[in-house]
Amino acid sequence: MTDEEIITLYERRDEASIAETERQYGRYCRYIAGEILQNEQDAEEIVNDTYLKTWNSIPPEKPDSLKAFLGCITRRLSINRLEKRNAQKRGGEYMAALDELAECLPDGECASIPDETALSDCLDRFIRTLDREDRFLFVRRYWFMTPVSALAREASLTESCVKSRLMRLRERLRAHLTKEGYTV
Amino acid sequence: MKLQSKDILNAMTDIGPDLVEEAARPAPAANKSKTVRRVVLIAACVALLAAAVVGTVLLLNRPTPVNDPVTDPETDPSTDPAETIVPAPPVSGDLWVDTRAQKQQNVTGMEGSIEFAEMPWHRQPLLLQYSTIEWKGTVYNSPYPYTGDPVSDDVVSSDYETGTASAVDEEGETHTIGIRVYAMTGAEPPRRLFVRFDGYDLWVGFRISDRSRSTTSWGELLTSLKLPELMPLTSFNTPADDKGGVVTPAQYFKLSGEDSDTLRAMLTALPDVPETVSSSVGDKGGELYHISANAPALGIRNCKFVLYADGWIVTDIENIVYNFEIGPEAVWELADFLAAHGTPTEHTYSRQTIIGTVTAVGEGWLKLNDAISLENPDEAMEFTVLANGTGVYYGMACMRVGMTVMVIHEGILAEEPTVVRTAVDVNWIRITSSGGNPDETVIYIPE
Repeated sequence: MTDEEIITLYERRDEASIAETERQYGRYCRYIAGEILQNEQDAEEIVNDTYLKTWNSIPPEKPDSLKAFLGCITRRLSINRLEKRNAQKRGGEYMAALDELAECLPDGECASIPDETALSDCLDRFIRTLDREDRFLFVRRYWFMTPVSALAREASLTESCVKSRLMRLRERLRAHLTKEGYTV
Repeated sequence: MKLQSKDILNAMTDIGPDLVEEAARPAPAANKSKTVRRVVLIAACVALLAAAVVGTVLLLNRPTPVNDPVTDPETDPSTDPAETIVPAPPVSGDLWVDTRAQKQQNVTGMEGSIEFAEMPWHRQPLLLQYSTIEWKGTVYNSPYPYTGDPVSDDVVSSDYETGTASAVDEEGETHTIGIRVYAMTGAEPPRRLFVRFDGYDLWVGFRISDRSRSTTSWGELLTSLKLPELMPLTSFNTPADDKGGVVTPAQYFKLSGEDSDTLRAMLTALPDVPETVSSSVGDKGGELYHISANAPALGIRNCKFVLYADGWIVTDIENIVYNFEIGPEAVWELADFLAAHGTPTEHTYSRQTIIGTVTAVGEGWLKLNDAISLENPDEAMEFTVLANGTGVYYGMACMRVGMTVMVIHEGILAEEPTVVRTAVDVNWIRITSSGGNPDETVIYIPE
């Protein structure tokens, strides 16, 4: 079943839409939630929440790519869950990723609360300047929040190599953010 | 309002879906051959090795085992620990060909995914626990698996310094241990440290991990690692090509000792150009030759220097790609030399895997039953895998009876088809039905 057909099911308020979503993209959502949460039970709950949120969002939403739409929801919900978890106990890949990205922050203060859409566009532009390998490392680390150890295994690099490459990428991101005006 | 890292992390959610989708796919081939993603097709049959594979030399006397390995009361003399931890002899002779049907041959896609399992910190052997050390403000990593080859006195400092290595376990508790450090001479900070852990009579090589403090130029790369002295360059190949759907296989060549000396002299005489940091330098006119680069004493194995037609030389010897623009004239001079002096040879390097269940573990050896990976479990064999390097030795020290492991090796002699003397890595794995990419038919082998 195509994305369009599944979305049509949502628009008709047909509950088969959720079953089809699960069949087509359940594994993908579970993967994202699992990577971020590192907890199977939490991931399963998040995937179910993702379906519910999708059910509540379509209509009026009509995403061009259902996969991307589900991915974004899963990621947001997973991060929310992590924040709650980390409010009680510091740790995990989320906090590690936050700490790492703190190195990218330009000096000084922004003139206003950063516009997330503009910042997303800025990040998008930055990532597209990277070569395939660096894009993989950066997005896997900071979108999926894949642990460095797992990333090293997947990319067949040593952990130290992954860390050093991520460090260099963060330095480049910092320069990119500064160049795009994320300073006073 | 200050931009916070959380803003960046949240804003990442809305980057282009194509970027996310790309990253969700398997990793691209790593830009280096030592750590080039060694993809092992599960469906692959065991390949014939054309020639002998040389075992590694081990500077290892009798390290104290960290764990209490399960002993095999029926150990035969060939697996006596005392015998297995001395340097393995070079392997030569006809190689065994496994004709048994592998379970994976009959599946399209994978029935299950293979994951590399994490060993709890307290059960890891010491070398894995302390794989990162900080010395005089610089961080070093152990290039695991490390062969532990001896390093000559003119490479390291004559006197050692004492220090400590620290590690943090899963519970956040910090552990420290005493070390003796011999630093490699020739660069500051040293590019390599050779460390002895208290109570262990073996060397462990550590590689500088902070790239920003390492190479800045071609000349510095060569001299700081003493490559002209430590890296014989005796083989090279043309790259395989599959342009236009027509596959041109790689062709392999070897160089005589004299020609190798000349090649090293030519590389040493290249202009001392700075490293080009950007990795987006196009295809550089295409690859001409891959010169094999090995310096086991430095933890450099199966790496290469690649010559590009537009005047680039690129190498992965330091775990990351270095690009140097030396100019077309210099590149073509090297290429012409290789073309004129290379003698065609068979490609002798091939890695194979055995996946099975550990049936016994001893000091420097383990036994493995491979029924789990066969179409017909009745054809299962029990292999004795011998340690021939500290990496494998310590990998084995992690293993326990009943674990599923993958042994990567470089061939088994036909005259003793149940003994693996060329193991280069041993990994504890899990075979799952839910993880990974269902379309994936490869195993990723970590360094």
